[in-house]
Amino acid sequence: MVDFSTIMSGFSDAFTLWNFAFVLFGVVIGQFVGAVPGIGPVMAMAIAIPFTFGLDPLPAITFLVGVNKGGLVGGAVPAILINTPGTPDAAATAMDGHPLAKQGKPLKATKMALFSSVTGDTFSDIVLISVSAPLAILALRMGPVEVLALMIFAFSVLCGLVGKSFVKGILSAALGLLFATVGADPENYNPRLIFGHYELYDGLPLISVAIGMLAMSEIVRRLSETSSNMKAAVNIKNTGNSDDQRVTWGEYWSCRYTMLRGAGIGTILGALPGIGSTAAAFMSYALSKALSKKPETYGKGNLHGIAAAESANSAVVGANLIPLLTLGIPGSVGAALIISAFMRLCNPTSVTSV
Amino acid sequence: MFFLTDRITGLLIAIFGITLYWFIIPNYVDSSQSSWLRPDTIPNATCLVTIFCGLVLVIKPSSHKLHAFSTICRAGLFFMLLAVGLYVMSLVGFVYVAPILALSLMLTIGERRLFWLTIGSVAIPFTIWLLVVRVLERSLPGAS
Repeated sequence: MVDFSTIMSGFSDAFTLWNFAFVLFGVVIGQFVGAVPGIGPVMAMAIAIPFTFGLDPLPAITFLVGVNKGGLVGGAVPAILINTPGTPDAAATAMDGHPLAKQGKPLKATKMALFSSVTGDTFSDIVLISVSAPLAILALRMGPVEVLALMIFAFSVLCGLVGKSFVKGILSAALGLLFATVGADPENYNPRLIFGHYELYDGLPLISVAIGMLAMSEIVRRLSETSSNMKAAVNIKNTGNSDDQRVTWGEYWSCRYTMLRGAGIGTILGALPGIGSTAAAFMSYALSKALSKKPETYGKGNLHGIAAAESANSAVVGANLIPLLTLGIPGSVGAALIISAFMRLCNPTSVTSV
Repeated sequence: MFFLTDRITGLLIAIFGITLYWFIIPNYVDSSQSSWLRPDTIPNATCLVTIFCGLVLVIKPSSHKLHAFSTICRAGLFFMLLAVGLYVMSLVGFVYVAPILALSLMLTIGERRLFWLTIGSVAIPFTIWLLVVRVLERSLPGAS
């Protein structure tokens, strides 16, 4: 049963100008670092945690959560503008966001990413506040077999739906799995394909892979096609139509089912520790394409593609706090950093000593 | 008609898979028998799938046509330049190599405007250094 009095009490504590200022500060910093490929919100949180020890617990936690959530939205900006995701979670956003930007609608794409992120995140926060305990118990019943089944389902969906060729889909999944085996074997901890580089023991860093796959190929393509006539990296055409620079209510409303589906996928996957927001974004994107009446428009600047990816990856952030707050199990690295800050900030001895 | 993108990509991928399966995985992955799932099982399985898919692409390519030869050569040149630059950066350091690499890339693509050359080869590497080394206190390749 939802305890509304506790929820209302929480709202009254949280909704102060001081806390809002810290939320805003955190979101701004998060967006900035999220938009810089290679840094990301997790690193920003790790750096910011020591600075929060001088604050009261509530503004400190709101600041850290703001950095985390702002970072995810920020990751979509370079993904849309230069086809280089700021965070790995935004890789799926680039698939439709960048083509839309190339059509002269970068503001429409980034605004759609923002609105769908906010929608997905709000959905998962409502679930977090209201039904986190039963959902956490359900998530705990998911063992390795169920998680494997879920991943096989995700791979099947991706192979069949991302791109035009089924063979290329299988090839991509196989190459992805092959590169994922770099590092220590999980059963015996034997090194695999590390070629003497012990820094690869934990596997290939995801952000390096994402930048290498998307940014490097984009850079080489742009360089090889560049003539002596210099052009800006981001060519924002002025189409003369103000609707191309904003998301109309009709466009937002037409994506409601896509966003809800993405938020649902993100919330469920976020509640499962270990499955990141990248998988949620791709799964939501693939499902949205499968259910679309015009699947051929995906990858060419379809707003539904952006909405699906962004609502799912942002919903994961809120849902990651479900196992954290109910069972003490962090669902992601970001959630692990938040619990470390919780333990430091909410410890009576540490608070009084500050 | 033979030189379709898929045919060349598929051939290269199949060769990559065969090289991994026959030479790299046996030498760089432990084939311990003691565990329930041997460490080389998944890499070998993915290699076989890669070889199979590569061959399918060779046999049954899509109509995706190859880029112009000059574009491929330019892409190869820039890729080599980037690879050599990054390798030298790991040896000498970001501070010394990044400005030179950025400047040579910009000059190669035909940029001649002094303002943009300065921004690209001085201001951006300096900002990256300032942000990563000074603000975030992380190291850059080869930086001391």
